[in-house]
Amino acid sequence: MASISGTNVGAHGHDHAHHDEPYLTPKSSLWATIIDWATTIDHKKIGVMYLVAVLFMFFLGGVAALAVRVELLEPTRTVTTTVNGETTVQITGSVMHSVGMATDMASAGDWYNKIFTLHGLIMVFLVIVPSIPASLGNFLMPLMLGAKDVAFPKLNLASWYIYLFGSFFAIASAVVGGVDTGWTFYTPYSTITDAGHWKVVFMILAAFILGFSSILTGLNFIVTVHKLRAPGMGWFDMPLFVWGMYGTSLIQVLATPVIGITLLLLIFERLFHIGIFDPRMGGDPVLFQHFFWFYSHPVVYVMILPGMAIMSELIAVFCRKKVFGYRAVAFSSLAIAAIAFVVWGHHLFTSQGEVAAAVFSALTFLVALPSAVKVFNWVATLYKGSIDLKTPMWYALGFLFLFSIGGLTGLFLGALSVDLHLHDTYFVVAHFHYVMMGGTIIAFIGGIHMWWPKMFGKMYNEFWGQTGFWLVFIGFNLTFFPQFIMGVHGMPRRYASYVDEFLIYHQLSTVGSWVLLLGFLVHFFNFVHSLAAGPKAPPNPWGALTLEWTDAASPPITHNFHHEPVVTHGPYDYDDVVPAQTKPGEFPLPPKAEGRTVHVVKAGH
Amino acid sequence: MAHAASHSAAHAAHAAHGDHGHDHGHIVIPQRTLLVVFGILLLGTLATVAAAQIEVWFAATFDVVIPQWVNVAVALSIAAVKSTVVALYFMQLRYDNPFNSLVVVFTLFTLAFFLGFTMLDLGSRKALYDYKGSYVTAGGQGNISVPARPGAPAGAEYETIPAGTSIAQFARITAARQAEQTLANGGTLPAQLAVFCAQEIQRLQADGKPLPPYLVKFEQVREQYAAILAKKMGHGHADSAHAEQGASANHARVRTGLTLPEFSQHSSHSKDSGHSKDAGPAATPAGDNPAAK
Amino acid sequence: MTSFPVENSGLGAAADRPYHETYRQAEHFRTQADEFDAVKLGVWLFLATEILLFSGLFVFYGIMRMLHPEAFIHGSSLLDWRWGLLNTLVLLYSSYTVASAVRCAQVGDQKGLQRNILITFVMGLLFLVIKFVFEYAPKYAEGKLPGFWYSYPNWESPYEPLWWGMYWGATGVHASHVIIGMGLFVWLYIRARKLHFGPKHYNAVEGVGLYWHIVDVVWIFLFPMLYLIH
Ligand code: HEM
Ligand SMILES: [Cu+2]
Repeated sequence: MASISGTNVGAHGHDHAHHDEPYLTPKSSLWATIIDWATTIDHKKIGVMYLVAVLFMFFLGGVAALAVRVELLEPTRTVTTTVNGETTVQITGSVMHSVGMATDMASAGDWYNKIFTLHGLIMVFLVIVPSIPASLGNFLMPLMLGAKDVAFPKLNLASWYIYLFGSFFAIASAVVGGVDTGWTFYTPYSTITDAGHWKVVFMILAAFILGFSSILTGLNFIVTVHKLRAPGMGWFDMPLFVWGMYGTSLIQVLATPVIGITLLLLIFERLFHIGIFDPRMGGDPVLFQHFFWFYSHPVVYVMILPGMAIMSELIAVFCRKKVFGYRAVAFSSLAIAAIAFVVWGHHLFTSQGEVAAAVFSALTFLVALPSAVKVFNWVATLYKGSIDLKTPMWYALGFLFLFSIGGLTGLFLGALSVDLHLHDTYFVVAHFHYVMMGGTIIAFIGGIHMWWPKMFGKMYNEFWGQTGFWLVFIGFNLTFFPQFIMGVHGMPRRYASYVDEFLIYHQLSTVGSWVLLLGFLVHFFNFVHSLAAGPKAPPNPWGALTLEWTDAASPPITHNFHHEPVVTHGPYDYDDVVPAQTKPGEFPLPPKAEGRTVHVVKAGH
Repeated sequence: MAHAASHSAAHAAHAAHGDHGHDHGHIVIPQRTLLVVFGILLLGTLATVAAAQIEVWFAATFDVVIPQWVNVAVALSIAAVKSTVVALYFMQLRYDNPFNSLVVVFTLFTLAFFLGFTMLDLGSRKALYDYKGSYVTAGGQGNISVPARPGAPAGAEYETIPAGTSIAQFARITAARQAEQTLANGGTLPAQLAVFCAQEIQRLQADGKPLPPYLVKFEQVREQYAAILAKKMGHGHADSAHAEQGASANHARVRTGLTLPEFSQHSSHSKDSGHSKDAGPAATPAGDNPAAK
Repeated sequence: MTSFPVENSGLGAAADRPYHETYRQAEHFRTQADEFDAVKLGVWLFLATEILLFSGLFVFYGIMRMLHPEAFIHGSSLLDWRWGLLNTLVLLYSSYTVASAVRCAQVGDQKGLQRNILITFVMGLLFLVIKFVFEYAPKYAEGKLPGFWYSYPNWESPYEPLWWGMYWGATGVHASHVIIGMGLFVWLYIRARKLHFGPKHYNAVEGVGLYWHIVDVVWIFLFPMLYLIH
């Protein structure tokens, strides 16, 4: 590392065109601003629009989840009482019933089925899958790579509108009466339920359309990584976030088309009865499960890899330390992407043939390896780092804790014999919430906190940020840990009622969901307050070394950088580089700098 | 600048692929090459058609049973060669950035895993536990409502298939109905109905059962359809082996190594009980059928 | 290697209006070569998604053929391979012309470019005409239809409705790709008439060409699978 001090990345003296304004600068009139955003091909604006949309969908899905939990506060029962020879039949324990939405047991159950289906569908297809890639990913990928935009900005905008279009179908199907197939659309139920109605077809179409949006994002990122890296940035100089997104994108491109054809075949089956999933015509309903999970297992890695991508950044920045085993972490993203394609059968242990089940069980254990590599490397990065316990770092620690639980219980489920007992119980529900919510969503919130100053140029309140974290963390564990116990004791999923033995767990879980709600509300108001009255953010409040912090303003200008960045140091070279700071001395000096010239990388402004 | 090295390395890697003669690094494929490739593709197409014909001819002439996989393997290998040629030359993969080829290879791997593991399951059902195999009534048990078939009562949009009748059987029931109506009105039967009537007569006679009136009527006008019947049923008639197997053989067909119990079962069913019943417990997984693998 | 093998430039009447005036490099790419490679990589990734989209249909075929070979064998014998062969030849030829179109763009042969695009379009149309008039229409009339629509009485296996489901599904999805491709050729033709393409700018021609080749490759497999394997 020769002298890089005073690299004049920040110095510039060229014309300040309008592209030099912060990207958030409004246009002359409100209408012009709206048009500008609606037609923008700026990856940052598209990222922000996605962020808003995804958070809104998270809110809708969360309302559905709360409704599910409230319904489960007590088991739904029919109580028959005979007083003075007069028999009255009463339904108890159903909120749907007591608020008058359901008239009898059957319709109470129907409501329950529709709401948990809606919850699952929204959370999977409208929230988690697009969440990190489409919002933070869109915003950050070009910035981290030192590019002006993603490779195909118009496709990016197209993907956003396709997302809106797909969401429209999803909401439409809920509005016209809702779907009760579960988010998995298993046949034969999904091909015969509500025959003659379009609700199910709408919902399938929604998932089908959303797939295209996801493909376009993934395709865009792959090409961006290949073709738009800044001069000087080799593959192993890329931030690990980019590696994670690269792995994600590969899966999105390779797996999503399969769900496309699966859903198309499902629609054909439903409308034209072509017979592929219909045993009466020689088809096989379990074949649908193969088709579905061939996409949907890889897609759980589309969900978690971006979370892991954020984790690597959070840990490195808030420990001020080079990520331990950079290459191992980078390659594990690719390994996860590859292995993700050969383990889908673990979702069908109870339905497929036993030979295939055994093979899939063995393969499933493979996928734990690269995930463990990542977790171990993060933990090793903590060791002897100068840990700064800001909100994002708390979220990183929360992720380590929760994802480890989620991942390890995944191994229980991957063991064929154990899964025969646990399949379709709350153990599964707890497992996937620990990974999807405890992993992806937790990392997502941590990431939003970390990049909030960059995205909006405002700081959030640290105290309320951390309060929010603790509420979310406690609420989460309270909601989902009891579900592990219930699951082991045999509480099946997707039921509106249960035996008394499970009462305490369900009640804990429901109370937990309220604590979670409180935590999210704290975050929400914290962010709103920050936008309205937060202090202005410096270009590099965390003293990070990736390009979006060192070379771009907060918020970045429309063209991202005044000068094309030239990469002169690795993304995590905290050992010998210190970024220019707004307050000198705020960040510890690099250890290797003692007795030598301190290398200072200037901030973008 | 420690990273300058990796910078130039990245660009060197970039320069390494493709030909950087001009600013695109793309090659212009000579027209001759394109023509030659087109020629190869035509030859490949002829080869796969010829292979199929030769096989039929070979099996018929020497009365041998060629296992099914031979046919599949030959046809698919030729298709694979043809697509490779298309990819390499027409799609220029040969001259392109190798990463593009890598994309294709990964895609094919993905496809292979998809097909392979799914087949592993469906091909090995029932390997240990019988209940994991499927017991379904071949072609359905009826009791479903389907779009109205020709000859349905006027104005009916849907018809309900009677319980215990499969869709395929229902097709025969409605065909009989339609033939009956057409013949009663003195109309002309469409080709497939004529063939149906002839086959139906054959089936009933083989069972020694009496012909229903509409078939009797058909016998009277059979001459009218002689050309069609000769074309569609000719070969099958001549070949007694086929007739024994119960195959009505609309077209000349190779005798494959196919000896599915279900196949013969079904045929015998349709011989001895007309079409009133479905083939018994069907949906035999291919685990029992080495020929299909 | 600086000289570019320009054959007949064929610019004709519009020669005074050089093609590349309409082309501007997108500013976020550092060089035109980068842009070119990026577009091509993007197209290849898209083709990967196309192959995998069809993979579902191939798995459908593979599994169902494995489970019910007799239905597939008899079903296949009810197709006339000669129409399939004709359509294969039509598509192969169109693949050849579209490859030639790319070449014409590369060497600046505008007339040849337009001609080849036009021929490819016509071949696509011919494919569809053959498909609809000589295959779909009679099959529809005879009741060789998927699942609940099936009413063809001369079956040998009760699973034949499933074969027809596969046949219509696979050829239908393929035909819809042909239709989309024809739309793209119309667009290309209009742009080619405006002399948008030339040696430095033939991304669009090449991209659509690649798409068309994949449609052809899928048919190269569907043809033996549907018509020949017995
Ligand atoms: C906000 C807090 C959340 C609560 C209180 C919650 C609650 C629940 C409950 C109780 C169920 C079980 C429904 C049942 O089968 O009876 C469930 C299922 C599910 N949840 Fe959540 N959830 C939350 C967040 C999330 C998030 C962030 C995701 C993101 C992916 C998610 C994805 C799912 C999925 C996919 C199912 C399975 C649906 C099914 O298969 O029926 N949940 N959730
Ligand atoms: Cu899985």
